[in-house]
Amino acid sequence: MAKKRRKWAESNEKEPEVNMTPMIDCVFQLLIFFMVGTRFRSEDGVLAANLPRDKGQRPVEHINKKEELEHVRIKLFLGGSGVAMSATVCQVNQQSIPFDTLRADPAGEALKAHLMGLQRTGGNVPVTIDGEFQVPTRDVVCALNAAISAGYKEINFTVPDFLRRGGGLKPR
Amino acid sequence: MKIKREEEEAQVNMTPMIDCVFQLLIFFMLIADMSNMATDREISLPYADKTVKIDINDPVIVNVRRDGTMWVGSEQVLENRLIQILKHEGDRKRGADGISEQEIFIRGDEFCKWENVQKVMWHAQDQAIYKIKLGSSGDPNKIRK
Repeated sequence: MAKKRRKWAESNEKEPEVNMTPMIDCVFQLLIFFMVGTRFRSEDGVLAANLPRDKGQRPVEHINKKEELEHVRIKLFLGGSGVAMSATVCQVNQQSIPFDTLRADPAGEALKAHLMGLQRTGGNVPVTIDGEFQVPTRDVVCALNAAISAGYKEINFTVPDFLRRGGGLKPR
Repeated sequence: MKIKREEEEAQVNMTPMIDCVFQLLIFFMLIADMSNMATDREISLPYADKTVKIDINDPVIVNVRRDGTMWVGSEQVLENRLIQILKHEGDRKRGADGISEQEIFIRGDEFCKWENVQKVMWHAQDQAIYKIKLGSSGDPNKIRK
């Protein structure tokens, strides 16, 4: 009897197995989800600035000399001549600065150097970036980056009041 | 004499494959950036070496594409809708002085006209939201375009 039982036990000796198939299925589902849904972390970040709290515009002739000295105004507009007709022109307090973010100076080093020079002579003064409508955002961000690099703390953007006309908005 | 062959099912060893799949799964789980689902992949941000990490809590993210269209999340918004969103978000953090502490994160494509970004700024200013952050990329490969 005992011999028979041992024989039966030997014939039924199998290693216990865990069924892995459902787990593999789930893992594959997760893998596909992450592969499709993943966006690789980019170097995207931010540059901070402020908007002016005052509204409306003041004609340039109303800005007095003292104010002009105590303020750095970066003006960006489309200009140039010939082939460079639609190139962005950069002026700092009405003085033209070489500015070519597409080719020669993509990081705006000339503007940065100029702003650093002003920073040394004028102390920490507010900067206003005045970008014309048609200027690409790239150039304005470059100017903002240059101002931050030069150590300016108070950087503002101009927001023209007459935008409301083009946008079809009701006046407040 | 007949030889009795033991019938065994042919089995593929799955262990190395499962190992690889787990490795891949862990890799994708770690690398996945799910936090910025409101940002728009269509947008190529301008290069700026002073770019800092996004540290805004609960920002309003407005994406401005190259063609000038504005997107909040996956929704394309016209100006009237944008005003509604900015008003709603601005009111949530408005102080007693009427000024909102809400921050607006504007992600403007590097080639979109500044006018389109200015529109967002104008509407933000209109809602007494004065803190803005402009999207930029610290990726130096961008300057070699």
